[in-house]
Amino acid sequence: MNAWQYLGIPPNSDKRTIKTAYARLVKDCHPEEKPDEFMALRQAYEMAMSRAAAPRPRDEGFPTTSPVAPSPASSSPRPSAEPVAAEPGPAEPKPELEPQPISRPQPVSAERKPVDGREVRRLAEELAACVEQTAGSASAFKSAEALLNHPLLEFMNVRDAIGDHVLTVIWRMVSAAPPKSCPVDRQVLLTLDGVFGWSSGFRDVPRLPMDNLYLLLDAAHTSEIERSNRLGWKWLGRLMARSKGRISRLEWLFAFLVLVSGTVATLGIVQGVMNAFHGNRYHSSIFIIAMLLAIVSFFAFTTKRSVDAGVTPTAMLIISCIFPGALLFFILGSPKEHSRYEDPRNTFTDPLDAAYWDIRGHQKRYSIGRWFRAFFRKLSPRLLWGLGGYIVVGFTLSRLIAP
Amino acid sequence: MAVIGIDLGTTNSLASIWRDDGPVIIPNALGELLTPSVVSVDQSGNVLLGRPAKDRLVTHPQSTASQFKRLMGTSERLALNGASYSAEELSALVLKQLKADAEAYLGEPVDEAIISVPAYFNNNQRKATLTAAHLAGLNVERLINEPTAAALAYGLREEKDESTFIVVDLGGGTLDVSILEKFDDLLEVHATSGDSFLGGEDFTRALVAGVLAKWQLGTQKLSREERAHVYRVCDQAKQALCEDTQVDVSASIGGKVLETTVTRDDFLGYCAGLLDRLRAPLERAVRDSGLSRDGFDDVIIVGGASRMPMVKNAIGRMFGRIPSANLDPDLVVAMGAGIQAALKQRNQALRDTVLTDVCPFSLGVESAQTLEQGTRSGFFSVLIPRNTVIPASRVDRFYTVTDNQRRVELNIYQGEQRLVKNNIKIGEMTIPVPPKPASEEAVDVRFTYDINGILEVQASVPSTGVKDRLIIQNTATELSDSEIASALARLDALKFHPREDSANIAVMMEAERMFSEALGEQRQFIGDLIVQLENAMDSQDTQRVEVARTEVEQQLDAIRRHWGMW
Repeated sequence: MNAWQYLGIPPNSDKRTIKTAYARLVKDCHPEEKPDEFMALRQAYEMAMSRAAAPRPRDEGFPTTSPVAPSPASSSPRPSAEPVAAEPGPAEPKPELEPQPISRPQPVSAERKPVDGREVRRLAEELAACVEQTAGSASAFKSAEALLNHPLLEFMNVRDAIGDHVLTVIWRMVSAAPPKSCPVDRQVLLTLDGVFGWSSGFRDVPRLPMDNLYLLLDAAHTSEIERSNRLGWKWLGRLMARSKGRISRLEWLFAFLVLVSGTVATLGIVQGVMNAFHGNRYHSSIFIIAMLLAIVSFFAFTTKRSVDAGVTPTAMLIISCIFPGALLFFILGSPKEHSRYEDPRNTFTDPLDAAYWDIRGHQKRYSIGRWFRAFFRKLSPRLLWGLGGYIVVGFTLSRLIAP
Repeated sequence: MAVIGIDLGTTNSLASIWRDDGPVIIPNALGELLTPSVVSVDQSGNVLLGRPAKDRLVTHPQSTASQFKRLMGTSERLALNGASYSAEELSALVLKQLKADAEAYLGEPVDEAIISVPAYFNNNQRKATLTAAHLAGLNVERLINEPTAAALAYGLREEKDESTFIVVDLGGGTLDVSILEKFDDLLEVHATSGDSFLGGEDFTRALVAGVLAKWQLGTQKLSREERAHVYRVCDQAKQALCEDTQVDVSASIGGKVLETTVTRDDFLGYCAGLLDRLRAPLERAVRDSGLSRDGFDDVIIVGGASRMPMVKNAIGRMFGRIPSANLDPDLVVAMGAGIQAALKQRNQALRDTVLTDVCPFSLGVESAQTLEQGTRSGFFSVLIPRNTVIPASRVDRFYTVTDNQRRVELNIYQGEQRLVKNNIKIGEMTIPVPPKPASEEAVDVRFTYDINGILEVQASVPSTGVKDRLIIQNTATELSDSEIASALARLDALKFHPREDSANIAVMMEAERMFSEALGEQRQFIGDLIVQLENAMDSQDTQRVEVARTEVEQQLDAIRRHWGMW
């Protein structure tokens, strides 16, 4: 049984007929009582409606095959099941046709101006040119913001069309760019996404690799969010708690420094307090506990680092026990990164994917300048203040309390 | 047995019931239609609800909770006088009150209800609402979407046989948009969208921020009482700005009376960002419905916040027509819920009316996709796209991605983003497959979403015939039975004032609130009134209390008239 039979109407009826049939049938299969029947009816209805929405070639090409079919203009609510109904047609439609052109345009309000197609095209081209020239830096892109506030963009259809056009331009730019870099600034991507809403919908633009582009947009959003993931208290806690995982040379050095200064400050406080109470009994035990803690954390960091550097942790520990200097060499000197953490941009050939990693802010290694910039950008001021304050207070206390 | 419809709102809640010729709003013990969704606990541990509690928001902000609907579905708890309550428990208290009011009004027990929720509430928020109903002792089988309820209330009045209209519901805390078509007795929802964190309270907050900036004060500098006071004053100013083009705002902060004048244009400036946020949900709904912006027969606005002229204008500008609000925007949703209650009972008068709704979110599973550089997972494959008419059932086939894969993990998500990590996970299941080279083994996944919002996921492996199913219910299963029992015990332990006293307490709390806001001579005068009423209440003489209350009420009215807006 096809959709038309299910609805009980002749094939290729107009929308109104389909709706009437649906409204009549739905009362017998109420969605609350007979969900299965309702779903079947709904499917038939949707199928029929999509068929009715599509242009019917029959109307133009072969008028002879359907002598019964009335002209599409007369939309009588009754389904023309019997061919006789078409007979009195020619006389009647005349008076009916006349009020129709008057009643139709009524819902369209007169104040709304129709959108000028040339205007839209011009705006799209201006915006595309602007993106092409200035998308590399957020400050240069500021000039395009006037374009993004254009009143034409208030119209949904216009915005969709221009958005698709701009996305195509971005894709072209990314594909043409030299490998391992993204020609579009993250902030610019975010601004454009905010206006056109690419990442919040499922719209497909033909001929574009949408999945890849969504990854790119997502990368632009996430690196914004992941800014908190840096050298802060949380990071330090995670470093202590887990033995496996990634730690770069610089991070290792930082953690080591934190550890040493922290231990010294703690010992200072402890010593000061002990001296103040004139009791030396717990002194040595606390000192030993602090040293043990320091050693354990040091081993934890080192194990992590050695895994990342591609060296077996056990071998590293044995060697470092014999030659302490070798340890430092391993940690600071080893240029080899574990393959897992290699720059992913080296393995991918797709320009979009390279741009993805670039915009994710994947650290570009082997360049001292980049290192330091990245390091200080990542360093949390709260951690620095906290640690600095702790050390200062610790030393002052030990100086004040101790004789 | 009566079934009532409840609109559990961010700011106000109300209940309605179908009478022979239409829905009737049930008045509360004070004879008012709107019960503010505010809960307060006083020193002796008695729970206050509604208007008296709202007055206590100014005098005792630390023991009063409001706007808890925004926390539905989260684990956040609000502290009231030492004890902490979840949003579900507070909502349950409000529902309990509505239930008691309905029982008093109808003279028969009420234990079933239809509750309206914002269409854009997600699974967790809906579950939390059902838990609240369960805690309140109400049996709720169906939640109705607020704009659908509003459309029902309008649709039944609509004389025309065939019309398409858009309903914009801007309530206290949420925005909902629905596009509906009425055809014969068939009321069909075409598209739904919204923003569950945009509502009238945000406009008040914007006004508070603007006014405080004018006074060069930061919110941090104010005490909780002062903040609540400013908020209340601004809320009234906001309401006054619906009628007048400018309004005088005055508040006593730190013993000083600060004054300023806010014009409509000022207010518009403070809220420009909020008005911008209105646009995206509206456009999404229009786009999903496949209609043009000019094709609607009517644009209906409901919800208290839609009274604001700037909202009316913004929506009017988007559609190029003046939006209509023939029914009281505060009551429409409750009326619709009442109609839905009658529909559910298959009331004779509504026998032929059929309402079809859509699912507001896309539902699907996580999948991997083969891109140029290899396979990457984390993509969202939609099975039931948003705005599909429910009940609906869809099936899709997924293939293995690695050689010798032994099982397929199905992570089920709800949301509109391409990448699953930005969507909400609502369930997971695992199904074993025989090891074979990649993409030679397949799993058929069927999603069935029924009218009560229950999602059933069926997975089957065609080659082996292994089948598995998972039911993700929209029912109150978030809490375990023991948790529900303990929550019930906690709620039962709370004391309530007897119903007969509610009018006295309401007047008392209002007087106290006015006392705390007044200065100097007025304060003295209100203080005397409070003592007078307290004495009368202590005497336990009903007659005397009645007389004293009427007297105090009149005096308070006179004060309000005389000294301006309070």
